[in-house]
Amino acid sequence: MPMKSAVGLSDRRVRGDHAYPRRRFLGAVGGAVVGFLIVPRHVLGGEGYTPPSETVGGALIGCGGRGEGTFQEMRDLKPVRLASCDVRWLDRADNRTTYTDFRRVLERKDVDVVAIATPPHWHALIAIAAMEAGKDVLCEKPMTRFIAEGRAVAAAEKRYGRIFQIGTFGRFGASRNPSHVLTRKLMRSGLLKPCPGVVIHRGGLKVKEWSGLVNAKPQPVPRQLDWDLYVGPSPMKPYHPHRVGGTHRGYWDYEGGGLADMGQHALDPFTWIYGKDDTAPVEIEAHAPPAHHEVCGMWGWVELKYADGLTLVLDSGEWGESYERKKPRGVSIEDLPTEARAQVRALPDPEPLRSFAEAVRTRKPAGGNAEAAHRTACLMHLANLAIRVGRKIRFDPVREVVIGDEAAHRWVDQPMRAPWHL
Amino acid sequence: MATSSPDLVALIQQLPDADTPGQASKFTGPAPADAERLCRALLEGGAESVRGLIRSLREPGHPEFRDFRAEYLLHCAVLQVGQPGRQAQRALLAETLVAEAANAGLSKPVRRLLLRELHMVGDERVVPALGALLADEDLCQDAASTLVAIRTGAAEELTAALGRARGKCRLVLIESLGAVPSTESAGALSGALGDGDPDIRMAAAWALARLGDASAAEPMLRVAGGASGYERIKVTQACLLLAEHSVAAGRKPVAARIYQHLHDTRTDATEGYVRELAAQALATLK
Repeated sequence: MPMKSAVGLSDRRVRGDHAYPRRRFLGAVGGAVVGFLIVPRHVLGGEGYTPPSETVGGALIGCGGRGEGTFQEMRDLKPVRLASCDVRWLDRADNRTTYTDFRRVLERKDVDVVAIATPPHWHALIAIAAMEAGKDVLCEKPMTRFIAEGRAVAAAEKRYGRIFQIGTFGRFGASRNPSHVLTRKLMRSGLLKPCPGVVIHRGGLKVKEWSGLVNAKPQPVPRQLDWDLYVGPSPMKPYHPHRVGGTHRGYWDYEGGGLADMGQHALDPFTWIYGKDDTAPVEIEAHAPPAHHEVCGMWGWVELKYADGLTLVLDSGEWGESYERKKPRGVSIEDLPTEARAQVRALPDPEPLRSFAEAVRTRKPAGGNAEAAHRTACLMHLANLAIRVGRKIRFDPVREVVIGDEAAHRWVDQPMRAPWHL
Repeated sequence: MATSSPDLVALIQQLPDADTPGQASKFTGPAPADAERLCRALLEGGAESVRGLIRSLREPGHPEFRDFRAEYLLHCAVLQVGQPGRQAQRALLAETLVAEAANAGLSKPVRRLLLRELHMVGDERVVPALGALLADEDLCQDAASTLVAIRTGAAEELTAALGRARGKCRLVLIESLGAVPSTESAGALSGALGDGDPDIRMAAAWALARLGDASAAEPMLRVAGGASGYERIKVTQACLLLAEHSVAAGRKPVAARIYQHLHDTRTDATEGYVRELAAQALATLK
């Protein structure tokens, strides 16, 4: 599928695991029937031949810019690439190793792990279908296009006992920093009420860079592109090259601008450090001009408040006046009375985050599992929602509904074009 | 575009332009206060003013298309009236939008745009008019999506249209009934499980699962068991969803039957994960 440009970020690497035996891999859910599949000898190569039972079959769906890098994030499993899939390959797909339709890839019983690097409007549907097919998933960021998609991915991860890891790893580095560990313990203790913290993230959200074209005239669909499959669950629109190949980010139909593109990177450490992996802000307010119905445009800042008082601000620095309502304010154990500090220090450290490979091996959730990734993605979606409706919204983090604004809520769970559904 | 009202032309021209040729797009709207003023002026003109704006719309591929600003002004108005507490203006805009969406004198792309705008501000008052568009091959998807967004009264329109729907629209309606389940649709959905089109079968299974229709359990298990590839994956998923809904509705025997069947039949190692989760679910039912 069309490409995603490379995104540099420190600490992107999944570390330290060895190849995982396929026979254990298949018996993944708590002592289930142990499988033994024959992977054709020819796909394994000659020198360094790995027995079939030790081989992890891999597939890459979406082979554009970030595709190879996303597949490489699974390298500690040493997966054998059995299938590659991209909707731009109508002229070359052989349905044996190269495909245009991800459904044919997921039907393959020799594929164990799937890397997804399509544009984001496909992430949830492919991830869910892959887990329904018994595969583990490493999915490029952003996880989803709207909030209900993330909830559905998390439900599928739980229902099928599969491993999901989002393709950003900032939380792994944060979790090794002792001061961040203490902050997380402090926040998770629930003793800091109200929380005075104000985290302001300024710049780096590529707002101008990922703005779409508002006057784009339809153009002929390239013969090698399956446009219907590219559009997938989103509303059918006439083809224009700006809608594919990285610039798709500038359209609500496929992503959500620079905020969606960069937000999961920027906010993945935040949700871990501040212990917000299982909740969401309750009040969201944006400073932005009225949004366009198709194109992601400019915005100034968004303020997101959690129920405990913690405030997160995204200040684009690319439109209007910068955010001045509050000053940045960290949280510290010194904010607590003396006796409460001891309570926090006595709390056990959080479990080390598991890499994708380690999660696959142990069948325990990955560090960037679906629930955590969803909660980070919710920050971008809620911010974009406030930008799109142009008014303050209130959100229920448990039911995941917008409160008191039924029109705004309609963007939380968006209808999909047939035959696609969550 | 050719507007019939000088006021509308003046309003549109106050909006900033974008997409300078040769430069990357940097779309930005007007300051919020300016947008509020322009929308207020539009809405104060009543239905006639909104209708005039709509009839000036041209899709980008149309020879008379000038730029995006007319449809953007319409969208700004939709955003404004979508705010809580602006019910009268919302009703005026929604009723005008749906009337024009039914206007055969407008192009299909423009009518589809209007349906998508209704997605945000439509309510039960526009539901019957949307139902009348469900047989139109070019409009049924957007009309159905808007009905799903509105929810109230949507299932009745979708169910009523399903009996006479063909081709693409039939699939759209079945998918949509999965999103807004209705017991009235159970019979038609059950019939669709035997359709020759796998997309129809998969959509029907999902819709029946969402509906929690206990009588669908056996036919769904049969369809799943007889299917292969992607269809087997998706209909099996629908069976699991039906089991979960059955538990939630207090119909544990239905859920137990589904889980037991999946446990007993998913014996191939590659479906061991289904067998295992069925076993786990059965254990929780005891």
